[in-house]
Amino acid sequence: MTCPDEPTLMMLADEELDAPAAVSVRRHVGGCARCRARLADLRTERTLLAQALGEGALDDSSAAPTLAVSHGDAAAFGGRWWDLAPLAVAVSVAVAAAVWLAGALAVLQVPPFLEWVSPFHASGRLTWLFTGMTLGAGVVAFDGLPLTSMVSAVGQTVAALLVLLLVVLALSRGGRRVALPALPAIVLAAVAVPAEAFVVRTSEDDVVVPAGETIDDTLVARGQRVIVDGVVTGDIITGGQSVVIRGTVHGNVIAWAQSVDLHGEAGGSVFVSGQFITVHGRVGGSVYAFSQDTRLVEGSRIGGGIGSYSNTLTVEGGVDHGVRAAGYRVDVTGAVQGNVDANARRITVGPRSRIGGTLTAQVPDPNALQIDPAATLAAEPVVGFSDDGSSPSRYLTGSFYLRQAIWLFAAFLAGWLLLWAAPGAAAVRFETPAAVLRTAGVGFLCAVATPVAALIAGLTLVGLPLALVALALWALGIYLAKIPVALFLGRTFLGPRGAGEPAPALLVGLLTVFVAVNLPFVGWIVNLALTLIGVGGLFAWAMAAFRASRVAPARV
Amino acid sequence: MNAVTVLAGGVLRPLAMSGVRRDETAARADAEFDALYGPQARRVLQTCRYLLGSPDEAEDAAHEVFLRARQRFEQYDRGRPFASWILGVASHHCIDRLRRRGREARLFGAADVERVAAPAREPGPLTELLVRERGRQVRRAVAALPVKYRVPLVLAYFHDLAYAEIGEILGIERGHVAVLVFRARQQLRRMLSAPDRKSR
Repeated sequence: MTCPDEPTLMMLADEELDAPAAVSVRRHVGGCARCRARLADLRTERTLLAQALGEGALDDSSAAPTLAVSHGDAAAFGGRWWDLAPLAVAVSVAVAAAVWLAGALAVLQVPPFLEWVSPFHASGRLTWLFTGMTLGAGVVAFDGLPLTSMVSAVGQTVAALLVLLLVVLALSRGGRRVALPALPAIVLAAVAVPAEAFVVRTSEDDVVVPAGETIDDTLVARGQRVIVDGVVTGDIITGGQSVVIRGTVHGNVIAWAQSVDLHGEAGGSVFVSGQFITVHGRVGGSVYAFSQDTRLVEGSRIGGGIGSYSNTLTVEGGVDHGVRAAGYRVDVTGAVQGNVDANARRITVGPRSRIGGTLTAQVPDPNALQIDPAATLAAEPVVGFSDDGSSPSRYLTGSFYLRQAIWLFAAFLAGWLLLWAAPGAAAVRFETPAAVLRTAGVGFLCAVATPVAALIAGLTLVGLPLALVALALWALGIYLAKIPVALFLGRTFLGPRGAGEPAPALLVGLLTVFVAVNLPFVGWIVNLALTLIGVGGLFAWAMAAFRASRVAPARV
Repeated sequence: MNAVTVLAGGVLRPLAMSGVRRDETAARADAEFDALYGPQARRVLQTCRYLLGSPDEAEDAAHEVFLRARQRFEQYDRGRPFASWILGVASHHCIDRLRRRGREARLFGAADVERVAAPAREPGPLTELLVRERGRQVRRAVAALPVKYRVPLVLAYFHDLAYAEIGEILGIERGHVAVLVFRARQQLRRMLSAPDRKSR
């Protein structure tokens, strides 16, 4: 007999060879030193493999921390609250870091001229927000994608971020169950944003619409500089380093750029975000500006009103309606037919200015509002002083506690109703720190994805009712989120005593949550975390209930 | 049985168990099950780890195995060892998961696809020294094996199941199991001896 092949020898070593074959192979091995050695090696290998695999079961480093083998009594979790400790530590470290950073910067005293970029300053935050919007929307919107409006641009940006998040989640495990089915849906939704015909012009350098040219459609343009000297009969949606419009736009102007100059005429409204925004010409509608510096120079005319979130807003021209502005500085030297509502660190009304309505000014102190005696004001100005630390702490006001008591009562009632209507929600529990984090992650997804999905679905007519239902469910979920968390906490604190009727546990839990979310500085983080965990838990419960209802629908 | 399960952050529990009222028989069964399951918990988890190749998913799976086993505890034949029953439940569950993951029933392929003959210059069986020193590395290599090799290998050498039993679980011929186990061992050898040859 020739030497048996290795699989045969392996089967012999594993005692898996059929009796007749085993006999003949054994006989051969008995007389063949080489095969005997191979067989011995294979046996050793088998033993060692089994050993290595067996050791894995004893290897502490590779074993899970604990495997809960207890049954579902709440009492069984009496000692497990400390499982939340790692989460608490993580949150505390994050908060401490944030407070330290904020504190350190406050100590450094950001000079006033830098406040507009300081993330710890209101105007700075605005700048960052709009920069983010500008960059995010700009990148997505102007990469040759047709889009109907800012809304879909924002939707796509958020959808892209969601896809990214889902991909990350899908690469991790646990989340896979949720992420993988959601991924194609989100991608589809992101791609399916309604497309329309546009005139799209992009260039690495300048995009110019020369004086003689008329674009009989909406123009989407991106370039280093975008210069429109001609006529655009539709809207103009544009971005770049600088945008100069000297021609005429019959529709709206939607622009984000470092500097936007509107010398010409816009029939519709102007939505702009940028560092410097200057309007020289006429605007039929209103101007909405998010910028560092917005200036409506002398001779400009706005048919509608002005909404401005700009660090500085200067109104030298004429405005047919009112002005609403928040920022660092608001200067009015032109003519405003309507009301002027301004919330700023400094507000000045110049000598030649006229305000047809009421001036409502919110300033830090009386010196911050300067109204020139020569200015014409139709009504007495209403001045309020913003609370710069002078108002008493909210913890010292009675209304705060009254509000919280009402909140507590309402939450208790809602929780009781929830548990009455859906007793299963009481079974939502959070056993390991990993499970808590996972649940919070799912909660985050639900909390973020639902409104975005609703927004995108709402863009199509068919999806509108669906979007409304989803939004309603979402709001309900957010509202009810803290209840299962509170119940779980309450049961944990009460131990065996909390196992029966849910009401005492719910009350204790809600009180705990109430104290936690009202802690100074960290309260909002606790609030957010609890809400996300709760939303995740509710979602998981809803999914499980849905699955169960499909499995056993016959039980009435 | 009201087998409604509640998923709370990947932790599944039958609602029936979380209810306030549980009759005594169930409580006794719970106690018996706990006593039997406790000593096997680690082994179940390790099975899931080996078969699924992902520690986190394994944790989920182990918990689900616990629940499934509790639900089917009435079907457990007390004449058989509990360990083999629970490990059977575990491997079935993990293979279900792998199938779902692979989205195809023929996860383990057909026998004729695998060529049995060993190429001439394959590394020989792993030496004692190599494996002793590198128990952990062996486990890592096992984890890195493709599913179709890993599962039969683990069932054969961790669970000590006969090829026929493995074949039954995986729904393939006994001969095919032999081929897969052999392939698995070959690949393991290659993985574990490659760095050695390089360093020489």
